[in-house]
Amino acid sequence: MTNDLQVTPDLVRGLWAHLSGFYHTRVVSKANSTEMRVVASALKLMGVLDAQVFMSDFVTTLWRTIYVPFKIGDERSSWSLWDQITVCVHEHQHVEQLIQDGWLRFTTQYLTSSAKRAVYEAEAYRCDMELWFWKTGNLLNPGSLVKTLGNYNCKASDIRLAEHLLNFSAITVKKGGVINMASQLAIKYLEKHGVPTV
Amino acid sequence: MLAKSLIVFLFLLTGCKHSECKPDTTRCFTNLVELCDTEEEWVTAMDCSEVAGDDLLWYCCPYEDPNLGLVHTCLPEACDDE
Repeated sequence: MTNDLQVTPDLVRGLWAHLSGFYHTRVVSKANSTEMRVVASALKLMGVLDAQVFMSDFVTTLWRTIYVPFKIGDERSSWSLWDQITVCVHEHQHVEQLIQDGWLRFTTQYLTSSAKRAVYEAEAYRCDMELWFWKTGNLLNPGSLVKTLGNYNCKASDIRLAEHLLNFSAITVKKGGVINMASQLAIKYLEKHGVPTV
Repeated sequence: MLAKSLIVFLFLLTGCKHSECKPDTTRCFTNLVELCDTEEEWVTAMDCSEVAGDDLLWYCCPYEDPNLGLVHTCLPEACDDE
């Protein structure tokens, strides 16, 4: 069963508000954030990522604050409305991880271990897979999903591990299971408020 | 006495690594799917008790996949060997 919705700006704004309310997150424009500009410069200095790419192509979550490089619900953004939905769920899954593991354990493991960071990210990418499967009945390619983990300074062996996690998760997703809590909340919201495409 | 206390203290500091495993392998631990990461530690990959879908109960089971080989994952039916 597929759920090909009309993805409208209102639906996108509604979903962001819904998940932000549930997880008590704050959404901030990345362009207006001094701390994000500092992080961008640091990443550039370390040779990890180009500052402009970090500011425009990445959504960043620090504890319960989500820094976004687009205006939520803006149809003219380079982030499509569906991308805005997916990234909303993905980032809130990181907040779910923060709650499940505790902020100290989550932060320490995410920052210090390539292996643990890859697993956290794979779990969040599972949201992308679950939402796409719910919408289209097709699976996203795990190899393509984890490609960006090189930008997160993950080792090649850990990127392969992340792909493996998504591969065996896909078996459950294909059978209709929704594993991640943020995906479950989002799908419930979209089923209630989305209008099917005719 | 002081030496003994020091040894106990050092043991507490160093002796708590989780059970080692072979990277990329999976297992069921109660109803959790665990994955062995590249640090040879088991990490939780899925909690089958929390899976939603079709109002079914989901169980951690071994699964023979044509491409992946033997893996463990959440399935909407009890495992064959149970």
